[in-house]
Amino acid sequence: MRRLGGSAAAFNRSFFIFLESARRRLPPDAAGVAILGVPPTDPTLYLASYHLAPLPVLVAPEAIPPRWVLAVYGPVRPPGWRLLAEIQGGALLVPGP
Amino acid sequence: MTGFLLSLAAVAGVLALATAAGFAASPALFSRSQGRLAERIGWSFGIGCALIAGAVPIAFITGLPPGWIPLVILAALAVVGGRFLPLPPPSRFALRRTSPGEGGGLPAEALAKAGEGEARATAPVSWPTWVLVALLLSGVALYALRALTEPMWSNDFLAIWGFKGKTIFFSRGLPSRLYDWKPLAFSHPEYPLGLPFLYAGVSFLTGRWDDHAMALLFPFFQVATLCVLFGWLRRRGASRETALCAAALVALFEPLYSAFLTGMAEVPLAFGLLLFGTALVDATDPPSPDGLRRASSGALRCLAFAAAFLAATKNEGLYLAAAGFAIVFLSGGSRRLRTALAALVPALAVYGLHIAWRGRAALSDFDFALFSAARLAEALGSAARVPSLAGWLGFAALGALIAFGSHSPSGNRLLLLAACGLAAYLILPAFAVRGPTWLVQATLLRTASALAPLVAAAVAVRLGDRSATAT
Repeated sequence: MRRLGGSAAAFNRSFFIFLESARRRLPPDAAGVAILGVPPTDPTLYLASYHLAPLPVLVAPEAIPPRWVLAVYGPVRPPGWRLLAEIQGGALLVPGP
Repeated sequence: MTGFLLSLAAVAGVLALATAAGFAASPALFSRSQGRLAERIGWSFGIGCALIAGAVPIAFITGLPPGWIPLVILAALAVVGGRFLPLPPPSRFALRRTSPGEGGGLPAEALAKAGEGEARATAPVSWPTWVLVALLLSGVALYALRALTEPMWSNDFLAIWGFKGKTIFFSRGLPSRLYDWKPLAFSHPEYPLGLPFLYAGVSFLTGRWDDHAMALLFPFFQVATLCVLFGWLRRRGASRETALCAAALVALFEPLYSAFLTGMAEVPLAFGLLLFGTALVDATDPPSPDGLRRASSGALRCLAFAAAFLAATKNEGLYLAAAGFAIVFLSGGSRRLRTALAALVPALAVYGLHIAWRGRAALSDFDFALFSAARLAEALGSAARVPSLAGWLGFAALGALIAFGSHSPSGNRLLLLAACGLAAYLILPAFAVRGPTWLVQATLLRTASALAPLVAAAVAVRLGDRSATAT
């Protein structure tokens, strides 16, 4: 949590809160995390990849690999995905039935 | 005591223990009577870091649980090696500086100078010495504040060094995606793994990933650098004031010891390059009537260790080891081949281990087909705009000090090695995929700042030789 007030999260502290919330609620069998709702900038990609390591992370990917969790930043919920958990600033989703 | 202070104490304890193990192993590099204590402590920290980092891949290969068991085994092997392969004590002459002309000098002259040095060392400490000590300590304290104010945060820590270390720690292995999964190209699979292994190693030993407490590594690297610089200069005959002045200037050199560079590879590289440069000079000392051959066998081992350390830290480490090889080979001398090989072969071995583990990885930032005179001119033009007015004044002062110093071959070799590093940092942007200006603006200041301790050693030893000539 010390990172929240630090320089790495300064570009978007709300996004860091979202990442930390996602990290705490990720299912243990998640193979990776795809993040939607943020632009795929370098700071976003680096912070998300580091904070969620060792899980692989993709930001705004065109396709989502199987067994990955979708972390959506913001209010939009893509169709075809089932809500796993509401988190700070967004939601975690998995492929729906 | 807060959680952070406990974590900090745990990291400090791990580093102190590793340094102690390095000290116990150091008779393989230094004979009991050779080298100042400060220099030996600095080298011991380097050995300790190598033990911590080296224990990680050894644990993965052998199937041992990473942590204390592989470290204790590796440290025990190093200590036993240090006891069974100790260096014989060098002769009194071999411990002393060579004459300014570097021709080996006359033993009588050298002993006389050594006597003067001892007399100076036992003299009461003057107020300028206390001022220099205060400056040195303030540089250490200021860097500790910068480094420990918040968790390590720079882009390259998050994207490369810390990211790999954290992945290795939590995966308890080296996942292949670190070097064969395209979306992770930003983490530079082609970079060496020494620093990520060190991060993972410290975390295995403390039992947790704490990227705030682990920043303590960097003030330790700074102090180790200052110890080696001060101790080596004193051993080479520099006055206490000259050695302290060089160490204080380096301690206060904010472009290197900054919050931004904490977590990145420049601070460890600066330390490794100082080890390499000083060992290179020690190993290329001309033969003396007695003892120097024995002393230089220790210097060869030091050189080999430092070359491996460099190559494990950054890609340019291999280049700098090759530059050292060329400097030694071209400088002549009866033992030049053996010394040159000691400067290069361990670095190649480290590079070979990386290739064996992960395969070849292209330098993703560079395309050698892009080179043109216009791009080189753009790179150099951009580089000229990097220093501020204060920076240019600093360069002018440095130039004056270099011009004022004597033409000591030892100092000249160190300067040549630093010039090779600077030339690479100036020319490589001409090959940059994202453009010369981008690379210069993004990296030149921090990469070139890693040359500072080496340059400080060169300038101080040249000034020391001049003052010796004057007396």
